[in-house]
Parts: sequence; C-alpha cells; structure tokens
Amino acid sequence: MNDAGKTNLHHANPVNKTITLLAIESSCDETSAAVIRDGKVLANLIANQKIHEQYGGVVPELASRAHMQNIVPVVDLALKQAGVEKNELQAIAFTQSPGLIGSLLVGASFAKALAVALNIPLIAVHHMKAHVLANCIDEPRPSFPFLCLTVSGGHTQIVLCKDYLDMEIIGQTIDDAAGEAFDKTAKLLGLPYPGGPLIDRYAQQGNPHRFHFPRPQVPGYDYSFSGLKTAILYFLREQSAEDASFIEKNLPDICASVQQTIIDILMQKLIKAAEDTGIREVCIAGGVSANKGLRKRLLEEAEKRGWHAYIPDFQYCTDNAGMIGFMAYHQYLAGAFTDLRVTPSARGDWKMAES
Amino acid sequence: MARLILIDTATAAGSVSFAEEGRVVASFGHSQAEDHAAYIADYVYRGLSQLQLNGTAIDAIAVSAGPGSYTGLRVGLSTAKGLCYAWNCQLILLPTMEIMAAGYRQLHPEIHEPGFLVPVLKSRKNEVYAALYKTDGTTIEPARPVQLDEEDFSTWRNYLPMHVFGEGADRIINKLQPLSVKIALDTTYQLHASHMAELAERAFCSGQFADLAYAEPFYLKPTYVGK
Repeated sequence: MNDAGKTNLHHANPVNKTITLLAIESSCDETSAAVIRDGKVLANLIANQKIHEQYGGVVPELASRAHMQNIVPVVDLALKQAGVEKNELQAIAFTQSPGLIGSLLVGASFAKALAVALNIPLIAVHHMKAHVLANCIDEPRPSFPFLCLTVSGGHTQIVLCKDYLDMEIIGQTIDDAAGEAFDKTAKLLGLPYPGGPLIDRYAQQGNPHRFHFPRPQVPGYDYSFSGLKTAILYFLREQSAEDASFIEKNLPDICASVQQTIIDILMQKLIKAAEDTGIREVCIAGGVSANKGLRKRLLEEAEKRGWHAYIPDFQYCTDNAGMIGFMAYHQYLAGAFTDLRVTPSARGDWKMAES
Repeated sequence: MARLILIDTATAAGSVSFAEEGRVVASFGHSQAEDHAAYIADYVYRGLSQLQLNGTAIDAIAVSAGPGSYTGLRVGLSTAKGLCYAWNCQLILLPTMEIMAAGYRQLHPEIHEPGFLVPVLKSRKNEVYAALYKTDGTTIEPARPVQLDEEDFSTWRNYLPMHVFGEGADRIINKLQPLSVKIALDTTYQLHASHMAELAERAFCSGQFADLAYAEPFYLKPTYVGK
C-alpha cells in the first residue's frame, strides 16, 4: 500500500499545558502500563507472568496469551492509581520494538485502538533506548553526554547518549546477552527460572576467586558470552564426573566466580569506553542492572576513576512502561509522533521513530 | 437501534465494517495476506471519519473470535478491547465459523432446500478447522480442529446435501470421496467483517457480551510447548 491517506493523529499542544501520557510495554513477559505527566511517572504498573517458570524460560505463545488477559486490568489500574481520566490523556505511547512479535502486537494493537478512540496522537518507542533513559527519570540524573551499559536477558550494549533522543550504540554483544549467560548458568546449576537473581544471591556468600573462567578477546567495545557459557558447561561436567555432589557442595563459590567473570567482562569494555571518550557520567540499565554484584562494582569503579555513576530505581531496571512513557514524553516534546499504520518489529531499528 | 463496529482478522484477509441495525453502512479491508496490525486501527479511524461518528455513537464492538491465526485473532481482539475500554462500550465475541456460515447464506440466497453448511479454515498440515451447521444456522457441531488422516469421514454423509466452503474446503472434499451431487464445494468464499452484521446485532439485542478484561480468542487448542 502507498503512503496516500496515511493517518497521523497529530495535535498541536497549547503552550504551558500539562502533558499527560499513557504508556504500554508488552515486549516480553511483562505487561506494564504507566501514566506520565510532564516527565514525572505518576503510576508504573507491572504484571509478571508466572506461567513461564514451569517451562524454564519464556514461551512466546503463552506470553502473548497472558498479555491479552492482562492488558485491560493493568492499564485500568495504572490510570486509577495515577488519578487520571482517559479524557485527560494527550497521547498513547507503546513499545514498538524490539521484542517478541506476538507480545508486541497485543500492546501495539491496544495502544493504536486507544489513540483512535480517544483521538489523540500515538508515540512508538524503542525499548532499548527507553532502558537508557530510565536513568534520567529520577534524581540524581546524569548530564549529557553519558555512557550507559544496558544489560538484560536479550541485550548487552554500551550506548553513548548525547541527548534524550540522540543515542548511539558503540558496543554490543556479538552472540549471547550477559543476562542469558546468567540464566543459562543457573539452568546448568539446576536452579529454577529465572535463575539470574538466584546466582546473585548465592554469589553474596561465595568466593569469587575460587574458580577461573576464560575472558573473551573481542575487538572494540563489543562483547561475547557464548564461549563463557560453553566453558562453564564443560567445567561443571568435568567436576561433576569426579564428584557427583560438586555443584551442591560449591554452589556459592561457583555462583560468585561466574558472576565475577561476567561483571569483569562487562566492566572492562565500559572502562575502556569511558577512557577513550573521556566521559565520566556512567550509567547502567536493563534487568541485569538489578544485580547486586554489578551495582557494587560500578560504584567501586566510579570511586576509583572519578566517575559519577547512576543506577535506575529497581522498578525502572526490569521491563516497565514507566521508562517507555518517559522516553515518549521527550518524543512528544520533539513532535515525534507516529503514523497509525505503524507496526511492531521484533528486531527493531535503532534509527526509528523519534528521529 | 445498535450501532456496531465489526472486526475480522482470523485469516490472511482483514476487514472492519460499521453496521446499524444489522445493516452494513461502511466497510474497509484487504483481501491479500497483509499486516493486520498496520491497518485495522486505521480502518476504524477512516470509518468514523467517513460516517462522521465519534465514540459515543458506538454501542458495541464485535470481533470474529476464532478459530483462526492466533496472531491475527489477537490483533483483532486487542484492537477491540482498546476501543471498548476507551469508549466504555460492550464487547461481543462471535465464533468465526458461524460468521462464515452466515456470510455464505447471504452470498447464496439460492440455497432454499434444507441442508448443511460446513465452513472450513486451513490450520496446519493434515489439519483444518471445520464446523457443521444446518442451513438455517442451527449448530450441529461447533468449530473444532479436524485431523484429516484420523477422522472417519463416512459419518459426514449423514448430512446431505452439504455445502463445504472456505480456504481448505478442498482438503475436506478429498476425504469425502466418492463425491456426490449432494456435496457442493466452494473454495472462493472469503471471510469478511460485513458477514458479522446480523449475528452481532442479534448478540447485542440478547445481551450476549464478553468480559472486557478476560475475553480471549477461541484458540480451540492448548499451546504446544516443546522441551
């Protein structure tokens, strides 16, 4: 179809008027809705989907089905909690990419219908950029330009953020994400899903220098975690062959050593990026930024190197609509609305929408 | 009088119709495999503009709820839920195969004699979705997945004359050999939201509404989870 007749629900905003947005996030296994007024998060509701635990990972079809049942209650509760009526909303924002396509489609379709029904503009948000801006939601906020290490189950990126809508990926994983390395290690150790947070918990009681795993040699600021995953698999297989209860006896030390290795790998490139760019405003973001070991290490490096380090509030680390709404607020100010024919995308285009 | 928006995204074709008192007043759609997610909300917008309506004028949204493509069904129902939530209006779920039967009767007023309607939709290899209705619309067998290699099709011959139609109708016909003049095949039937008008009006008048929060498509099959 051609572009003729494209519909853009675009309204001029009178000067000095408050801007109230509803944001919807449904990229993976969390259904979330948030209400944002003038860049301030009034409500940020997140419905987790317990159903995936029994399968040891997110089952896309089950996630799509659960979003369908969560979307209305979550949106309704967010508006009620914020004390905002539907007719007070100036725009609807939603996660356009990246993510599981079936999951994205539920949130996107619902958001588009709301925009049509309320006759207000639609804002398509890039999930990974929103993670970066999660650092700017509350005080203390980093000043531009800052570096952000975004670490989650699906992504590992170093982003150079020059302004709210001006970001550049300077390094990223060439294979597995760091969060995947945590979750897959947990699976090898027989820990229940999601295992990343459990590794963190056991690591607190273990010796991080007890076992040694290889650090990958990848050029630039890029990462690789697939070799580490294989090394851990072989290590556990060999040790368990000698002593069947090896894992049981050494769980805290294994967790601490694996966690230390992943954090070392992550920090090494972040330090290099900070040194090369001369930027001292350094943030972390994404689900793995909830990891205690990573948080502690970031603060230690900041102390040592004279950085100002930032970590988002826990509710803005994992997938949440608050960060989608915050990013959307800045897109709103820039007049970066989207056409009604926008569709979600699994892979995502870093240069999309707001530019 | 009910003013309804009708949405069908169960198959590759997608459409939206506006109906008043069971009569279609505007329709938008694509017949090729296109991206439902791109167009459905836009069709609603265009319909409202064309008919110069706003949300307060809409009494309910009716959705073709399945069986069909899971993703397609979810695009339709998520859109419907968004509209209903924004306008505080009612949600109606209609079984897709009942819509097909109603549409087929509408397109073939020449069918007078009592007989049977078998709408068919493609599912996957060796499987289709099918249902069995009397030509007056009475349900004999509601929609279900039919295993083409396992089903005993000899019992189907108790329902003649039979009109088998829809995408995948030929796959059923192949199993109904030897053919009889009393088995009619039509693979050209195309599902369309406008075929929902009468059923939706009837559901509205009898108050058959779905729960907005927890309504889900008629998937008919549990999720397959591989190890």
